[in-house]
Amino acid sequence: MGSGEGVMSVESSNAGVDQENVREKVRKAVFRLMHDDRKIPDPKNLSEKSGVSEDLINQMYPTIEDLAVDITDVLDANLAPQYEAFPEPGDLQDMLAELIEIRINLYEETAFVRTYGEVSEHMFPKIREKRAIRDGLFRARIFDMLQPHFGQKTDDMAAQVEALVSWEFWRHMRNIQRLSEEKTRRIIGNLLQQVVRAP
Amino acid sequence: MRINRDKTRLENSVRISIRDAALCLAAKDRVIPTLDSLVQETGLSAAQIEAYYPTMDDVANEISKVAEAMFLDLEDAMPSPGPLAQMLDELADLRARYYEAAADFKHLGDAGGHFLPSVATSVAIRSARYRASLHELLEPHFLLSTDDMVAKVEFITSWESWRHLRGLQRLSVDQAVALMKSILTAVASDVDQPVLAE
Repeated sequence: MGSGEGVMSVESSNAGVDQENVREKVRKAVFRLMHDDRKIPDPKNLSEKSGVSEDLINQMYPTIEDLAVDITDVLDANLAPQYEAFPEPGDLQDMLAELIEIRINLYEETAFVRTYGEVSEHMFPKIREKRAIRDGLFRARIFDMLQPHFGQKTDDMAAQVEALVSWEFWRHMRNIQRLSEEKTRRIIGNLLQQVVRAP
Repeated sequence: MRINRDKTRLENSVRISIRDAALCLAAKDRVIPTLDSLVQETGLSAAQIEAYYPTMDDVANEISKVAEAMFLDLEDAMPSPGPLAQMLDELADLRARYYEAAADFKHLGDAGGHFLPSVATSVAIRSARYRASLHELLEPHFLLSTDDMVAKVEFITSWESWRHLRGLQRLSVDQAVALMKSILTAVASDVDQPVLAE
């Protein structure tokens, strides 16, 4: 699992370089606080961790939700290619195998930040909305992929496939059952094959 | 003697009011409780709160105990031994009932588990208990492939799966149960091992 450092930075224009550098310090401090110190970030501990004054933090992020939204936006922008990756149309089994590959690679790379993103989703409506939009787009693509193969049964099949390649299912295998990455890939692949064979 | 009894009663009531305030903040207001927010919510001083709960992990531990007592029967309910298809069907119904009843606490555990060791420990213990029950249930049907089958059934009937189906896909309870059963049926109908118990 990655440390999240690689997906936390953002490309800046010249005019906003200073401000963006400060924002990045604060964003990184959030993850250090949550991961290393297991603390809920607030302006005081963020200031201590980032070296940015409490006043400036409050000015840039009037609420903790604003900070969570900023972090989510940066992550989403940096991870856009991974989120948008999707199998090319072709043989159903090949597409499903590729889908598993793409999604598990995404989860393995981003587990660190997504795990903590769950806390934001629990607390902040704006983060839940963003996640819902992204998941809705993914659902539509799964539907399009399966529709030629399952006709009227596509709704049911798409729901099952979406669930089996979801973050929540992956998280259960890796964090709760503590399975290896390899075993997780094998079990999810096996389940998908069983599900698409069943109808 | 009476003074002692009254003192104990008062202490218990303060302890319960702190615990309930933490629960209210976390479940209703979706805020992770901190010492500051508890001071605000209860009207007690930080020192008073810390006298009952020295750390936030102690508050979480108390909430875990309350939740465990409230949902123990639902959480431990497992199908009676019988034909595999029937047991898996019943298992999906039982887990759905438990997750629906305990959803607020489960969401809370998901958020708190990242910061509070006692929550993470409690989740690990409960998961292991469920895994052991599944193993016992499925072993007569799958013999040598029981481990693999338990991993799949646990995965499909897990809280994380339920949360995805209900919270992300926004399925109704009936739809989510039907989907769970459908995947379980697909898994059970594709087993190479002889199903001795049937």
